[in-house]
Amino acid sequence: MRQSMAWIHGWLGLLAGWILFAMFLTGTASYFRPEITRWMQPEYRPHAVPQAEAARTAIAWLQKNAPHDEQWTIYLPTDRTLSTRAFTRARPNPDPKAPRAPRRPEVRLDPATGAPIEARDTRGGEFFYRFHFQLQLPHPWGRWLAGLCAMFMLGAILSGVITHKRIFADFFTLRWSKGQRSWLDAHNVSAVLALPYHAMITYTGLITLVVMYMPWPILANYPKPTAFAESLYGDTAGQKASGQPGRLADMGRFVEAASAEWQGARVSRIIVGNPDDASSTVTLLRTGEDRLNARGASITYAGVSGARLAASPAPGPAVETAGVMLGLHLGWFAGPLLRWVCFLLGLTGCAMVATGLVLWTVKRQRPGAQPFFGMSLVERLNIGAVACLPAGMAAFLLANRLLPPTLAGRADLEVSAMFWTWFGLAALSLLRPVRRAWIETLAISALLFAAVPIADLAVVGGFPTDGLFVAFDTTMLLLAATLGFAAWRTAAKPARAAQPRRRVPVEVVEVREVVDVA
Amino acid sequence: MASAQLGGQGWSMAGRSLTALIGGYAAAAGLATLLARLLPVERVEATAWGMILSFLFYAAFGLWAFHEPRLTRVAAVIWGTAVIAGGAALLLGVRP
Amino acid sequence: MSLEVALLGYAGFAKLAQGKGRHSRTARPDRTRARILGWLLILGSFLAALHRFGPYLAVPAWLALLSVSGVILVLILSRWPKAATAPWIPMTVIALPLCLL
Repeated sequence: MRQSMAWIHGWLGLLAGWILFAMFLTGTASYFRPEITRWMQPEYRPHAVPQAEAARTAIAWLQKNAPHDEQWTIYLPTDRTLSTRAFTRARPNPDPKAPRAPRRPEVRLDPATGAPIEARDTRGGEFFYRFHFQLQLPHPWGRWLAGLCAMFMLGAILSGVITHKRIFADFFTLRWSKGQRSWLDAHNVSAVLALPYHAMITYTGLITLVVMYMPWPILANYPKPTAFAESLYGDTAGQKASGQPGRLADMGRFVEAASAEWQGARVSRIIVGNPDDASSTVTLLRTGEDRLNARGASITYAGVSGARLAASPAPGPAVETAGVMLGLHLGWFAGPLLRWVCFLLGLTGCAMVATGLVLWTVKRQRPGAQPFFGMSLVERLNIGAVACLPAGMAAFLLANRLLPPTLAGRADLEVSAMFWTWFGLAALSLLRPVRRAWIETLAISALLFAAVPIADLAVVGGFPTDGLFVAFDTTMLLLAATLGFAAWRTAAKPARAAQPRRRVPVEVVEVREVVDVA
Repeated sequence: MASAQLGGQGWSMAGRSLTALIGGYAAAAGLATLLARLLPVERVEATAWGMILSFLFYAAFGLWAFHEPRLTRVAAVIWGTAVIAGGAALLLGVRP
Repeated sequence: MSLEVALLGYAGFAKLAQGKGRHSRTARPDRTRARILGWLLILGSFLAALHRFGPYLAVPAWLALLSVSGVILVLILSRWPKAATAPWIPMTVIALPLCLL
């Protein structure tokens, strides 16, 4: 049992590891999605207004700019986003052969005026969030690949737990500068100490896209698949327009009515179906910020008459479980301290994947032997993923400060900056010997992160007074320090092969891990 | 089983991987669908249980495919489950 | 703040690490005592989480805070084994009034 599990653990982790590392790192950053967006638009000075007012201004803008769309989704401002976010979906082209219209990017509106935010154009934290599960690949391939990697991760976690027989005995054991043993320690500690988090984040991650990955149970129970979504959160995608024009009633009233029905809880999202039609519907969703279940209750009104049409039924155990899983993954429930804790646990996950990847190579190296092709490939990909992706992410943030604020197409240029830096650095690192490549790419990543707060101070001008900017810049410096430490450790470590085995107490020497046997 | 045993035979390894990856998905989907169709609870609840548990089924099938040494048995169980559960779900049709 | 959960968790893990005997040369009965105290402190951190977050949020919040305090402890333990476990008393002392805030 253990041997087969150790074997499969190694291969599952290796094959999905590089993508998993990217998913973990960008996903960890996404805990601060609204904060990153705000940092990336330093010109924006928000004006807090009541939710009802924000809903009114957003609807006014949408009626002017996207009146004939099939659906609008409006995320009302929260204490963290401070801006209204709107997604619009155009009516499908009646010609079935016409290419699918590309998904439109989110529009960020000033809640007070309803006008698009006048600040530098950027994808903001939304970019990391989308990359985290779409991997910048065409729809739907990115999501499928992310799901496959998450499935590998789930298998790796389960097989890892079975493999690791002394899960509690090694709980506190982390020994530095002992070659393979140190990597194994670091992999065990980062995996075992945060095991509840890793298992949770992997399984709940699969649940976030379960309708796409596993639609078959829906087909077995519903003649019309959209009926399932409707019964869950009042999605109006299935509703037909009547064809008669109609004008939406005052949106502020809907918000106030729904909020009153929820004992004053806030509205997180408004979905307007067929907004210019006589049969338009307005669905309001309750915020999930004050509870674990992220899929809040919903109320649907007739858009024109304002009549209350339906409300989501109280969820049963299974729907509640799914909602809680979603909530656990998104982490919206977490206040500031818990959010930082989640961020640290996400970094622990990155460390687990990275140390696992390195362990794979360290375990197979024979002193003096010429590395075989597979080994070189894995070593190089490890460098490209673990050491170069952080550089790309830092470049994304740096580009935000260095590109002129009014430059056309700057949001896409920021994204290009990330990928050119990431893949460019990975390509350049091929020119260097493996150990030098590790040291140098890690050092460059550290320097880029250290440059972010400097660029922030230089470009935005003056020392930041807003707590968010102070915290962001400090975090950049800490990340730079961590990467710098990694570079320094790599440089300081004596060559692995030459290191003689030291005698260590018997307690430690026994073969503790089946990973060694595989 | 050790890597030498598995790595030695390329084709059997490929068959095993395909069975785990695709057969495992099909079997998990079949079981989840059958569960969702047959659970005597509300429609939306049964659907949600099926979906929530499906990944656990998939992971179990996937890992077992590499644990069990006999490839024929792996293929028979996994593809068999997929065909039987999927076929049963198809025959039962949509919940009335 | 919910720092007391992490503080108690750290203190509990510190005692458990002492109970392992790998990082201290204590006698066997002392180790048993350390282990018992460690588990009690971990239980205390759970009760603190229950008190702070309510029954619904307590379990995930507790596990998250406990995991992070464990990671921090192990990182310090790997470099300064003595200094890592020493502050368990002040941590417990600080945590107790925080529970009541």
